[in-house]
Amino acid sequence: MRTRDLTGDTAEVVRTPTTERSPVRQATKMQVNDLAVWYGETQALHGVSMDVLENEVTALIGPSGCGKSTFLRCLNRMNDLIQDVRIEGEVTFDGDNIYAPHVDVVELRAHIGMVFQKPNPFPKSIYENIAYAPKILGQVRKRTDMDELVEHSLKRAGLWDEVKDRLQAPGLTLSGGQQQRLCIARAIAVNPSVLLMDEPCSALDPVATATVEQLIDELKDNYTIVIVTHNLQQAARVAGYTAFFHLGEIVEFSDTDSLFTHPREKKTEDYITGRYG
Amino acid sequence: MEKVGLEKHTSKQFDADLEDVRELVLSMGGLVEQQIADAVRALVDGDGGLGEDVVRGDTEVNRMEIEIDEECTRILARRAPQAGDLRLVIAIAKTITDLERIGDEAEKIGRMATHLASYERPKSAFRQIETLGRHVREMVRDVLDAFARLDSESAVHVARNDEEVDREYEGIVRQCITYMMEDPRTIRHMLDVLWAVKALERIGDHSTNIGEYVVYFVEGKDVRHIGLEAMEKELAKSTRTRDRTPEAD
Repeated sequence: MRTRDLTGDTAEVVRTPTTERSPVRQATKMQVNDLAVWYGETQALHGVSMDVLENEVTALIGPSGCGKSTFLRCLNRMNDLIQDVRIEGEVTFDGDNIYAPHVDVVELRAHIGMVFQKPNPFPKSIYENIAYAPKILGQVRKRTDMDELVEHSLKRAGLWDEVKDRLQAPGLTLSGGQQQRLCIARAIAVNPSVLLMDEPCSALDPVATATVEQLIDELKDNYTIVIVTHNLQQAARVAGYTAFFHLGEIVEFSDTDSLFTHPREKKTEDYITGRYG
Repeated sequence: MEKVGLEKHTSKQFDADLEDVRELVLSMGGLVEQQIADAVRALVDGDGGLGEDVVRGDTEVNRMEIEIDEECTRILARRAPQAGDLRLVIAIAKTITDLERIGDEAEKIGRMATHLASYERPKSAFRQIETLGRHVREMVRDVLDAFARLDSESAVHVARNDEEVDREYEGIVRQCITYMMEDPRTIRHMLDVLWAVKALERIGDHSTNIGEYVVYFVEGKDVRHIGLEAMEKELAKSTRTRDRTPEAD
């Protein structure tokens, strides 16, 4: 994949976002180098490279089957769980390759949390949903510390005021939007630095969506967020940077303002203006 | 960046909506062009009746501005357009503001024409006004053509023509000053003439603005307030980039 900037110079690959914002150099939290993924015989990603900038929201957009979810899942090795998958290339997190043989995947996922499309709270109490992972990972042992962590996580996720009087109620009794924020609180509880979100709002109504988006906005001060969304407006609203995926490649990766007002590539323009297919 | 087009949305209705609003802009432009032609004719021929027609005709220009504005708001609200589509709607919203102002200038000229209808005029000054009027009308027509054909190069060309219009304007002003010095009794009429000529000069400026919106829409570049030279340079740059872009793989 080749692209070019406005001066006519060619760049080899789209890896860092082209940007018209002020040239503040932000730290790179994760780096993906030449990532290729096969499911059996089918190649889902064709040597994709991309920098994920720290304390930014990066949105991945593209039509179904373009590889964006595959890409997201490679960032915390969720694809390891799939049979027949073959992954080549390198993904680094704070400079270390997460596919190196010695890496403890469970610990990795504590650093790089994930929130899924459908809210999936454990069939346990609200309290236990938050406390479960820190307990298993041995991060918190004292009851008072755990109470504090639960409160802190729920506050961070903007859910505390709504549930503080019923922490022992089952998580599944919450509304869809509340459940999704519970899942975000659960992801935050193990103190990750990166949050991956796979269409976190697609099962939510507009009000719950707005709440989650507001939350994403607040979280980016402390976390690096990568979000897959089918909702272009959502990408435009929440993300600082946006990457457009198509047929297993990144076509364009820019600051969101540029991508949605004057994309460089015709394919991007066609997709975001509804001329795709 | 690729050149934009208007069609081929998955939603045919969206294609139709954008096409409709574009047609409206062009017909508003046509109306404004006619207003300028009539106003200049009224002024040059001393036709007070025609001047009054122009003044009345501005109501229709204003009505169209409101109609197109509403249509743009509706598209923004319902379609949430992106990229080229977004730039088109923004460019249209700005274009019609300038078209409406051009309409106001034509109305002003119409009013001056009515005032001056009974005035015995020095022929040569009015011949120059006729030429200036033709030039600004051409600017309006050319810029609307550029808009219709998504042609940013022609749009920049309009800005270049504005320099000629400014020179012609200066020439007429100098001549009016000469008349006023020669015969102070002409001052009152000459002031009216000056108002009308100034209005023509302003129409040139508004046409240049519209040209800038066309460049913004087609190229995704804001070329306002950077001067003609820089504007031409910017345009050459993006044309070069586009020509070199390899075919979609």
